[in-house]
Amino acid sequence: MENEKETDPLIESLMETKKKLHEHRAKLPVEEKIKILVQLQELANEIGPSKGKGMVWKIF
Amino acid sequence: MEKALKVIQELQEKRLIKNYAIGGGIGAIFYIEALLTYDLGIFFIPVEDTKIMVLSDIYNYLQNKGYKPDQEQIIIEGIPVQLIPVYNNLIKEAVEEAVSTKYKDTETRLVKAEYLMAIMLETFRAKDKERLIRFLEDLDFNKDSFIQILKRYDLKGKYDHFMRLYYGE
Repeated sequence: MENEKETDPLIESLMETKKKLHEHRAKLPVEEKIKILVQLQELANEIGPSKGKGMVWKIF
Repeated sequence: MEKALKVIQELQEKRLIKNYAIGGGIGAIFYIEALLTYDLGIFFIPVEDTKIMVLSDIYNYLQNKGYKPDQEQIIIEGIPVQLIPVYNNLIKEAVEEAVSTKYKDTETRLVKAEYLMAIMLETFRAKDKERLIRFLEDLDFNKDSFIQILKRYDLKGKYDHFMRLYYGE
């Protein structure tokens, strides 16, 4: 039972890195995040099914 | 987005709305990392409690300025804006307790993180759960305040269930 609680150090390291990345991105200035949002909208519209498509913001 | 926020602010100055705050996905982006969303969600308190004509006066004003409605939104300066009258006491309190903030040089109002989280629990769509996880994991929010809001609006049980399900707590 003890072994079930152990996490692979590699997985643990990857999860920690991912957590730091999320935290870093959360702390970006909101203006930067809006630029990223527009990129996400463009990407989603290129690859996504038509059902999920929305309008890409025309702000730049 | 700055121009759209100025137009929203104008609605309050012209007394077409009593108060407002940014909510939804864009509200979330002020606190957590950028996530995919397509509209700028604005919760607002109408000038009067009459539900009829609440949106039509606002839409008339905006259309006179050249902005076009598109389904349940109106496109303001290139951004689909969803204007949502406060529809329950939680949302009303969220708007009343919203904080002033700035986007570039423009003053605006933003729903506090703890209220956004409570609203996510209330609406509880897949994207709300995803956003809530990001808030819980990436944000240093005021937990006491959050729990008080949940208790006031009978959401504490839902939160406990959510935490058991996703965090085994």
